[in-house]
Amino acid sequence: MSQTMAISIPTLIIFSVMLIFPVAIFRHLRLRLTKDLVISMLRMAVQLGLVAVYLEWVFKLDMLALNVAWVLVMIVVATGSILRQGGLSWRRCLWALLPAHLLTSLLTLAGFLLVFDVSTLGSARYLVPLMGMVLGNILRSNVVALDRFFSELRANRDMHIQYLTLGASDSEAVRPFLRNALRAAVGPQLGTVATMGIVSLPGMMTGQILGGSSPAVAIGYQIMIMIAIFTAATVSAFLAVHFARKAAFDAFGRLDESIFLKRA
Amino acid sequence: MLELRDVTVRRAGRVILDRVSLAVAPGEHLVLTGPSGGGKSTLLKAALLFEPADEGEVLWDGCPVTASNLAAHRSRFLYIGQKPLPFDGLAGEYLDLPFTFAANRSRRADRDAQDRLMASMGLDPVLRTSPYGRLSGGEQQRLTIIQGLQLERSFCLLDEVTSSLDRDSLEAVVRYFAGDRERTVLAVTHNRQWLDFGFAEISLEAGKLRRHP
Repeated sequence: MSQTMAISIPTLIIFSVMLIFPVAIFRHLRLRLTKDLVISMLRMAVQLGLVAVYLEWVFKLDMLALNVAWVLVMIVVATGSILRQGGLSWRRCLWALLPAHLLTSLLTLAGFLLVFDVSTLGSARYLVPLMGMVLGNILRSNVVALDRFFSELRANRDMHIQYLTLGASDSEAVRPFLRNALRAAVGPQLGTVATMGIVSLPGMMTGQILGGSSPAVAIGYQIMIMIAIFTAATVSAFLAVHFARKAAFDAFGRLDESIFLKRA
Repeated sequence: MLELRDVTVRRAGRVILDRVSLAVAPGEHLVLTGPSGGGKSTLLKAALLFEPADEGEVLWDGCPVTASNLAAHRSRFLYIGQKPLPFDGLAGEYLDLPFTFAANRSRRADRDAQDRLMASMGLDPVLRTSPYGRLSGGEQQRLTIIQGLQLERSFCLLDEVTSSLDRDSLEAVVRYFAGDRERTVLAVTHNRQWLDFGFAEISLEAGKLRRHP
């Protein structure tokens, strides 16, 4: 296997000249996004730089406990990001969503054990990137599912009331909302899966090919990770909405507006 | 017997219901009128505790309704809102929906009863095989009423259920409820036609309730 060519920091700085084009377009359209672009790019560079330093250390030590701790940090950060993007209160919803993502992660890890043995999966080189890809990809499905669930519930309060008075239990009364939320969250992902390889060359495969793996090996990993991501996205969106629902209603079946950062 | 005792509801600094007291005797047929935004819908929701009361209480046969007897309380009522609601499926499936809930599993949808109710409200029973979403607002609204009536709840809370109906179907719906002396009815409406069918009037204005002689 050939070593991948490293990209030096000066080269990256030179490469960022590319950004002149989006900046020029923003200026031309008087879109005030230049400042946001600079801040976002710098944030990304600093965050990735720090993670690189940290991961070098995690990879060097390669202790199972440390690897698992890092995955736990990823789960908490992912959950926090979902709450922020979904406009949900940390204080009220963190304890509802965290179990959803812990359970999903356990399920995903159990699935990976069908492919890898424990010591391989537990090593930093496998555990960190695999779980990173899964967690990174469930963010969107969770944000979409929670947003759709609560916005439809708020817009159709009468429907919820009607279901409850017709004798529906708490979970039966939200089922149509849950159904729509999941359809919105994972429907588009099915489209991505179906066009994979033709429309988009997936990230994991690209990375492995650049890293020196043969395309055949890379495809094996890609198919595995797509199955893992889709399963995790569906399960986590379902569990997230399910647990969030329990936190969102009071004993009278009324939606508690204090779970939202922005009031309706 | 449903009773509201000194119920006050405030929302965002506004008083929606101002110490409202109301007792509805079994079999009574009432319409609740008043200007838009006067608190009529809030009163119906407060009776079912979907709208929390800041002060006062809701009672059934003299007992305050709390979280522990809430399910029993709500199971006495049929609540129908003002807008036809979205549903994915055939009209017939919509009618059968209440029987898919665990609480109603012991009962079965009665096709003949459904057909009779449909006919009495001016709906052709063949509509059953049409997708619910393709029906007109008025047809959806009548199906919603029929859906609820199958459960034989003794107390109907109707929130402007006739606002999307044409004259003939409006009359059919009002006539149905007027003729049903078994049920207690409290109907929010802007339509004076209910009064011609023997409904007594109460009105709500700026949160204050008034009973008309």
